Amino acid sequence: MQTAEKIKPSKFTPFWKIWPRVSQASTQAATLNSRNIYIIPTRWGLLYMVMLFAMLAGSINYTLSMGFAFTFLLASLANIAMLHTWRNLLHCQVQFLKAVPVFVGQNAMIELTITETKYRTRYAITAKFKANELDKKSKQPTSMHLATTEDITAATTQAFHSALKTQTRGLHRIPRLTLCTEFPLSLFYAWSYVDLNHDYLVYPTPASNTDFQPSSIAFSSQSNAENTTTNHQGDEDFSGHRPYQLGDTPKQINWKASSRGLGLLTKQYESFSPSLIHFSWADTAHFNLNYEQRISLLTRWVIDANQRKQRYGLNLPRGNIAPSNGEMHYHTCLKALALMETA
Amino acid sequence: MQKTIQSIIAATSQVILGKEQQIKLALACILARGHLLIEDQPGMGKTTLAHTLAQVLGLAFRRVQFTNDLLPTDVLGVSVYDAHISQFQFHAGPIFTNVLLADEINRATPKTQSALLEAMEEQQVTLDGKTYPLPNPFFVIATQNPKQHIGTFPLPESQLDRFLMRIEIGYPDYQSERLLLQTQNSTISAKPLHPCIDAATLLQMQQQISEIHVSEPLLDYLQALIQYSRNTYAVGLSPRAGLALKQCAQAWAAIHGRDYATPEDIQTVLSSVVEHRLASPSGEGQAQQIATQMLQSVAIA
Amino acid sequence: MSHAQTKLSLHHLQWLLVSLALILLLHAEHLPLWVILGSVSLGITRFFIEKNHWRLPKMLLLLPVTLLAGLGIGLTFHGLFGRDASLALLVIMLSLKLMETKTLRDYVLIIIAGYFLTANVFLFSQSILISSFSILPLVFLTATLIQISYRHSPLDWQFSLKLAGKLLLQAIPVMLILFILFPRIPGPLWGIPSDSYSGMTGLSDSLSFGNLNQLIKNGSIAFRVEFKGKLPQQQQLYWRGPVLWHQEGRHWRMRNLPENNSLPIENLTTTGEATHYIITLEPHNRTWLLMLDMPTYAPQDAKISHDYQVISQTPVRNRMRFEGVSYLQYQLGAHQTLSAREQTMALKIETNENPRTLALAQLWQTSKLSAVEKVNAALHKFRNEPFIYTLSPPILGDNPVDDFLFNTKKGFCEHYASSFVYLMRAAGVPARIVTGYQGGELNPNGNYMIVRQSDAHAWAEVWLQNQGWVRVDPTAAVSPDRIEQGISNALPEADELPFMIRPNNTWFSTLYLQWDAVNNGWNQWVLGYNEQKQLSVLSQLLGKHYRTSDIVFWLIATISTVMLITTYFLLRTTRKKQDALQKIYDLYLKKLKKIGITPSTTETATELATRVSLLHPTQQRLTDEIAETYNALRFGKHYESQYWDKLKRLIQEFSRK
Repeated sequence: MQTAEKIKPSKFTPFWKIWPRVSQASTQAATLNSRNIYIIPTRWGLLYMVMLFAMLAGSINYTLSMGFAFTFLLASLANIAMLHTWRNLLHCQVQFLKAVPVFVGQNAMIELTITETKYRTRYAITAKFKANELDKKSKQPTSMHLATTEDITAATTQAFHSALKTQTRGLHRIPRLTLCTEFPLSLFYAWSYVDLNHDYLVYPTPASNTDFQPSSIAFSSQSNAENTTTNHQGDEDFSGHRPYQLGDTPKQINWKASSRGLGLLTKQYESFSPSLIHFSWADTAHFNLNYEQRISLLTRWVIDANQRKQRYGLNLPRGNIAPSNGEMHYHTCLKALALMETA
Repeated sequence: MQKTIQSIIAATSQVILGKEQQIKLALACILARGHLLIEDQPGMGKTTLAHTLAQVLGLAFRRVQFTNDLLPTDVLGVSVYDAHISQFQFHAGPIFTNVLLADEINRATPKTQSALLEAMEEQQVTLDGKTYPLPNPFFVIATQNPKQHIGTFPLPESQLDRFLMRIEIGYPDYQSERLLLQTQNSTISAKPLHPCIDAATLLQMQQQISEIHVSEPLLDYLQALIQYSRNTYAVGLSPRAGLALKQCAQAWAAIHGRDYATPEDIQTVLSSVVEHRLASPSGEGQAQQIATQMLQSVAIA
Repeated sequence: MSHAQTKLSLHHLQWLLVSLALILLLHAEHLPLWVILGSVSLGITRFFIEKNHWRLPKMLLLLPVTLLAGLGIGLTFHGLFGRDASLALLVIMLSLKLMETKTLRDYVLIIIAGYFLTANVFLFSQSILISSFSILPLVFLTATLIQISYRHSPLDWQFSLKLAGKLLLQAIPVMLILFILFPRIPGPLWGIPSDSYSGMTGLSDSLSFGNLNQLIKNGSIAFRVEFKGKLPQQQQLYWRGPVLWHQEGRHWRMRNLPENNSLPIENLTTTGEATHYIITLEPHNRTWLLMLDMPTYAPQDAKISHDYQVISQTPVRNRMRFEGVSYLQYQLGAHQTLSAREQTMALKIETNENPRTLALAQLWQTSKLSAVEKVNAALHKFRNEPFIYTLSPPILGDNPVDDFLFNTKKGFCEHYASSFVYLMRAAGVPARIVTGYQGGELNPNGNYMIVRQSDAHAWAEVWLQNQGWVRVDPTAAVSPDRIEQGISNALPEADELPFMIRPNNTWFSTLYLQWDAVNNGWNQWVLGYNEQKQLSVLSQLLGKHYRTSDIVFWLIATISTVMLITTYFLLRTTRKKQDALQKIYDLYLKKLKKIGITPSTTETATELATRVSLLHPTQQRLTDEIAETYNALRFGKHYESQYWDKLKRLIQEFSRK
């Protein structure tokens, strides 16, 4: 099982991760106080400064009193803008809400709220995950700049949904969040770091190959509620279309329809399928698959079974999940698969 | 109106001992024109409460015990071919009444549950292409055993939303229990109850309650609560839930003889109104905490 | 950090275009028409490109247009580097830049260039009007910057304008500190384009028929004077400027030969009281300073020449303020004889022209008239023959003095002065022309005197034995009004005079004088705030012997203080506007805090009351009533004033206990 490691100041942690003061949000909201906010001029701010020097030089050269006044006004304006930018971020309260689990490759949505308590609206606050972990091989950031920008109305709580790119299954620690703003004049960039101290779950990629089907199919003898003759989604008779959902096999997509611009539609079939299935780790051994592919295959089976509204159980090396159905069960199974030990 | 309400509560309290809060909530639910779901262990007096309320309010009362072989037609009614007049004749089911007590609703199959709940929502029954309106007032008091019980079909979230309130009765306190043990015989009801009002009065009271004043600051608070639930929980409160909160707060204010609702009214009914809508089906333990968390997080005005 | 490549919308473009249009308006006066039209049409084109989602023009098209525009500027201004040319170049280049503006980077670049362009207007004028108008583009540019900083959705226009105004207002305190304390380094740092002072008007170092009357028709201000004591009479107000010795045909010039400096300074004896005054001289790009006849004191960096001109070391290119001391009663060079060189210079004329004048002088010579008699004879001629004072004299022929004295007899001060001096020199009396200003208009609003270019004047000085150089004003002989009442009363109605200095325009001139008083203050305290003024202000603030480190200290200290105060006000929690009920209720909450009960925001009034009564059971009735009344007022409807009074009374009662 892959464990998420806390970013702790240790001798293996580079200094730029320890150096900045970071607000900690776990169960409590993190408040961005003045010690946690950093501010530097943007490149526009620097350009503006160069312009101020040019104007000052001009004023000296031509002894223009109004030139001086104008230059000083603009210099003071930048100074005031700096205060406003800093103030825009100050005393915001950040709280982690939840991280919706996703499949590998999808963007994990980290939901958090920022609360305004000082009775003044905060404008254009951006929340983003800075690339703070580099993939060792590709040197590509694992999390991209997928920023969300919102206003926080005075004395209210605003929800932020920040996307995070995912590459591997398992439980990962949410990287350090950056809150930043350039409002009002874009001359200064104020930012603050927040550690949300929560993990996010990434489910394995579902196998796209549907040739492999589970072998051990067990009919339920206990199920008295479900009528075994009820129609279920299956693969025998075409029964209609529904919008594409992630996890649908490409085979069932009506490509003809999508080429006519109708969007992705999945063909649905009905069959008389058994009402209770046990998916077993051992089953996947029959197919010539590697470790991760076996996990993917189980994932595919779980997704399909859930779509057919079947009752299913999961037998994994670390333990079994009793047969059931419904969303909760579905997620329990996927979580177990996500947390499988690495090979 | 205040007097009437007090007499209803007093009369009911004679039967259900030491449960004034629950009686008030149930009454508030009825006054707010909502359906009530009572959830508790067997033997806690769920059925008694429902029965007593119907009697006190002077309403026609029918009771249906839900089992897993109960069919929709058993509740709604059925069209039977009458050989004499060579026509299908509709035989109204038990649902055609003022108060329907749906006992142990989660024992019935989803099909029957749906049939009942659709009738609840639309105040009418549609069978064989014909629509039969239900009497007015009409409301359902459903009782349900806790979900873990064997052989139950838990109501889906979408249908739970149709119940204005869900209340739990809970064990009686020491004194009430002693009184119960002393005075009542569990099988025979002590004395026949006289209705305090009739159906027409109830309709009139319901009308009055919808006129209870809800001020702007209170609506702000209500919206803040709704917004908080949407930001915080997997599924937030629906607009219907918001409306339900408002109606219940109005009814609660009326029960306490006020012509305006206050934040306390919302706070009191909040737990009963929102928890069955917000709690995830599995997480039984956290249901209690939801209302508390909301109240502690959302500022008033 | 910045998403430099972010594309911006039509909304942002509109803001940018409006800001640029305002800048263009600010500069319109100083731009050739084709540049204005070109910029406007470029702006309109850009607008429609964005609106209709057309494609921006390709570089291939823009490059030749840019070169063409540069060529156009070069041809219009005969070069690219003058003040006017570089302004026009900047404007047209910025307009062309619009055609490839689509990303955030381009927008910010244009806005920053826009700020710079706005500041450029002060090269042309620093008047109150222009300075006030320059605020408009400043606000709009800042609002555009705000709009651009708020990229995720369009921002309300009122909000951004208000915020821009607020930011600028908040910027003013630090601006003032910088303006007063920031060390003024004397310019220039580099060469100044030659056309920078082209607009300045004033006396010239030469006099010829017809060049002074252009000046007289100019209503602009030459200088302002504040008198410290008694005001001199109008006819004593001769402001001494260049003294002209050399005659070449119809031209008279100053002597600016190096050996002139070695001439001994003329001996001045004064009687009576000294007149003290302060002059604020408008820049005229010449070295002379104007003083009342006769100056005895030269300001710093200036000296008095031998013929009592006050000459500054550098041309007056900025408004200058200096003190003057003069004696109105004097004798110049009375107790000495003219040196041979002065004698030659003061008698030299070109004798190959003006035969009739020369003949007249010859006649006086042969009649053995004394110098005084010759002067009187000349003045008598002016007085008794039909000489007319007019600003529109007829054109004079080849022998201008003859023509004027014997034919046309129409002219103004320069005609009278130059022909008089010519006549005197021809008759053997040493004489010279003095130019300067005569008179002035008292501004009652500021208790100072305005001297305009239209007060320009020329008169003569003749050298008489034992009296020295004596001022003779031949114009006074012809038109005494000119000297006694000023030029506006001396001229026939038909003569074109600047509107400002015409008589019978009382309400307007009153208004004008008030406006001029404001301008005078502006000039002295804002525009005239130079290194000298700063020195005097600083020595008043910091004591006589302050050091540079003191200025730095005070700069840092005051700016930090202002910033701290600003930060305090910025961070002060501006609570929601409290209603009357909350105000009353807050008294109760305050009292509760004092007794150690902190109300929570998530707590209802009833809950709070319960909590209080748990701690203070005796107060239960009171707290319950407070909660009930508060709830009724807050959430109920139609609750009358008795409830208000009740709540107030209950809370007062509670506070007492």
